[in-house]
Formats: sequence, C-alpha cells, structure tokens
Amino acid sequence: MPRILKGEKMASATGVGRSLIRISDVTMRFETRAGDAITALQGVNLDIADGAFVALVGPSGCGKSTLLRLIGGLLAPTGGSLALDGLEVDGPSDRVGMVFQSPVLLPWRTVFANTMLAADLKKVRRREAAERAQHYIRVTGLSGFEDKYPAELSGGMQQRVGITRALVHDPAVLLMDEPFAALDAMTRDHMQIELQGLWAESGKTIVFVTHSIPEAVFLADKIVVLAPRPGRVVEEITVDLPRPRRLEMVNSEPFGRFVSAVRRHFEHDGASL
Amino acid sequence: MKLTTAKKGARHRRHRKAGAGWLGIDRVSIVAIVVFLLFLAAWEWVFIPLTGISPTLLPRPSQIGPALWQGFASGYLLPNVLITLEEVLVGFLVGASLGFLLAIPVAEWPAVERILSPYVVALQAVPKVAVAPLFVIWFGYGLTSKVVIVALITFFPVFVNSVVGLRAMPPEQDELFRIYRASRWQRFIYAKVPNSADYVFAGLNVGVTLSVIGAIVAEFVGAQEGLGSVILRAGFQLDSAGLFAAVGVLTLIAAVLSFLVQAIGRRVVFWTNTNT
Repeated sequence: MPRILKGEKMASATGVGRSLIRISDVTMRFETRAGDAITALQGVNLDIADGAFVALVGPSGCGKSTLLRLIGGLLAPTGGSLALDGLEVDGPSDRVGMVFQSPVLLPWRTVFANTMLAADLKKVRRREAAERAQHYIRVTGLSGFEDKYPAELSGGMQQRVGITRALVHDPAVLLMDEPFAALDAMTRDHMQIELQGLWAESGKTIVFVTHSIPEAVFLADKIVVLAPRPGRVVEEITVDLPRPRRLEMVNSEPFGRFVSAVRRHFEHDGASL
Repeated sequence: MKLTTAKKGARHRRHRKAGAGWLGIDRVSIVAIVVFLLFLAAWEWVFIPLTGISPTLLPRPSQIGPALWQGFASGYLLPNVLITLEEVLVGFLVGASLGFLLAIPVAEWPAVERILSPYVVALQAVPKVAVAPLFVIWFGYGLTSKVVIVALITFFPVFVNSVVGLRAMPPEQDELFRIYRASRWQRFIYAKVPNSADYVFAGLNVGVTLSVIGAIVAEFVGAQEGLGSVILRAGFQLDSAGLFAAVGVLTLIAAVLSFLVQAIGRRVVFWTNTNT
C-alpha cells in the first residue's frame, strides 16, 4: 500500500482521480410482505473517482443505504449495472470493506481478534494482515486496547474497531453506513476528524452514507443528494473547502453555504431532516 | 416456550454474575445459611413436637443426620452414590452430545427439520418415564438401560435450545459475514457456534437436573444398585430416616452438577451480559 502524502491527496481529492465506481441507470425495487412493490432507487447514475470521499445524503427512505449495499454487492439491482474498477459488481468483493451503523463486533473476540476477522475468513497473509491491523489500531487510537473485549469499550471505541476491521484486508473502497449515527455529538465530531485523517493517510475511496448534512459537508469532496419516493439522485455537489478541515470551519460562511445548498432540497419535504 | 427457557437461563446467569463469584461468601449467602438452619430448627423443635407426627412418617433432622453418617460409615451409601453418579454423567454426556450434534443439521437445513420434526415432537411427547420399563427389557438391569433413559431425558432440552441457539445469529452479523464472502463452514464455526453457546448452556442446565431424575426413575424400574434402589429399599423397610438421607444426597448431587454446569457456562460464555 503506497503511502500517499497529504499534499498529493489534496490534488486527487479535487477530482483528478480516474473513475473507480461507475453506477449506470440503477433501479432497485423491493416487494413488501403485503405484496406491494416499492421503488427504492430509480435511474441512478453516479461516478465515484478513485481516492474520493463521497457522501450520500438524504432523508430516511431515499435509498442511500440500499445504494451502498448495491455497491458492496450485498444486493443485486433489479435494473442497470454497477462496475467496480471496470468489473461488473456481482457480489461482495475483496476490494470492498464495510463499516456498519452498529459496529457489529463479535463479543467473544478481543479487539485485535475482531480486527483480524478478515484474516480468518479470507485468503489474506496473516502476517501482513496483522501488520495492517496494528497500523490502523495505532491510527484509530486503539493502542493499548488490543486485548479488551468489545463490551469493555465505549461506543466510539467500538466503532473504531469496526473501521479498523474493514481496512485489514486492504480494500480499495471503504463503504460506511451511517457509522457515527449512534454516537454522541462530541464523540462524533472527534471521529469525523479522525476519519478525515485516516482517509488522507490511507488513500482509500470512501463512500459515506449519512443523514447529517453538516457531517457530509465536513467530510466529503462530493455530496450526492438523494430524495425519496422514489429514491433518486437530485444533485451532486462538489465541496471544495480546503483540507484538512477543522471543527471551527463548521461555523464559517462557506461551510454554511454548502449546508444550505444541500438543505434546500429537503425544505419542502417536511421535517424529515 | 423453548426460546423462553433459554432466555430465562441467560438472564438468570446474568444475575449470578453480580454475586461474589465461585465460593465467595457474601452477606446473602450467610443469610441463606441462617434461613436453612432456622428451617431445620423449626422442623426439629416446633413442627414435630407440636404435631406429634410419628418418626416413621417424618423423621427429625437429628435422626436423618445420624442415618446419613451411618450410611457412609458402614460403606453402604458411597458405592451406590458412585453408581448413580456414573449413570447420570455418562447418560448426560451422551444425551447432551447427541442433542447438540443433531441440532446442527436441523438448524442448518430447513428440509431436515421438516422431515425430522414429526419424530422429534412425537418422541418429545412420549413420557420418557413411562417407557423406562421397556428399556430395562431391552438393555437389562445394568448400566446401559439407565444411561439410555438419562440420555433420552437430557437430549431434548439440549437439542431444542441448541436449534434455537444455532439460529440466533443476528442479521447484522450475517451481513458482516456476507461482505467477507465467508463460506457456510466459516459462518458456522466463527459465528453460529459462539452465538449458540449461551442457549446450549441454558439447555445443559435444564438437562443436568432432569438427568438425575432420569437415573432415579430408571433405578426404580429395575436395579440392584444405586441411590434409587437405596430409596426403594428404605421405603420397604419403613426406614424413613434412611430414605431422607438418600434423598438429601441426591438433592446435593443435582445441585452440585447444576452449579458446575452454570459455573462452566459462565466461563465459556463470558461475554453474555452485553451484546454488541
């Protein structure tokens, strides 16, 4: 894994990277138990550049989590296609890591053993995996907690384990499904800053689902705004705020402009945001 | 109902964890011992004198104690205790192992469940105690018939709880293992078995208590040795002190075994009080 310096990262972050994920005319219909068809996503087209930080934002029911699971190969689209690095997505891939809203740690495994799950399940060289685990344990501030069990950790620490685990098999893409939604506001601020650092340091492509507009503006290069019923992309907003972003920027005027640019899509939609 | 059994067991263990641990004596245990002594005292000095019940019907604790001592000192009780213990342990291990092993295909393949479930339900509905004489006819008066009955009685609680437990993998974990493209085998070993452990131990705890009952019933039906035959013999001789002594030993065996299963369960399923 080549270490990318922050300066180079900034350049790629502004949109120079080649397309890594291509979503073409994707439609997703579910059938409810009552037999009604629900269109979770309708005609979604999206290009995600290699190394980009993309946030999918929208109210509940806009299909953002569904879109993430389609990219991860956990779901198959009912129409259209997705490609990862030119190859059609037809199931979960080794090039993808996923972080869930609840950390989904295995309570009988220590922190280190949890992060090493990929090494148990995949054909990954154990020594390399362990080195990566140790590296990300340092980066995410889990050092000293390796032998603890998940129950002994706070929610924020547990989610750090979840993030570390997703990186141990060295995926190109990190999919994150509202990973900080269950955390308290202060931990959340902290985790956002750490995630930004982790992204800059690791060179991964991150697709980040959130319903928090400020979180999306703070983290992303590109915000994909989705609207519900049927779930569809209504706008892609490029966020060119300078990096590394700091918490004080949240109160700045440019930051506020981006927030309102996203928010105006939902103003007629009631208080769902 | 089966699910409730398991969950109750889990919650029960959770409470015990708050105590002082293995043999730590805290205030509550002191109170419990005092209450037990008060109960014996009331039996000895209040209930028996007041009601004037004949010692043949209900012996005093001061008669049971010596009978117990006598039984062990004369070398009469211990061999019988060991025989019953052997029947219980062997039968329990056989029944519990079969219960867990058979739970695996039933939990993993719905088709197997559909094919097997009528037999399982039917076998479960049969009062095992009622067919005990049949096993004596089939397997004789020795150890085998007792082990079979104990195993049969232990089997069901372990089997039923294991099936529920092996299916208790949370959907989020399922998604996690899917994203890693885990094989069926990996999913089974790394997720389903650990997730089931809590339920399995709840089943084992029910099973171990039942297994003692099973051994005694089996001995009642046909045996020359064991605590069950000791009890029968004492009954025929109207030796109620000796009978109470044997029942006391039996109760102690059941309690100690149940305690052991719970203690092992707490060690094995150490993470049970918090689910992440």
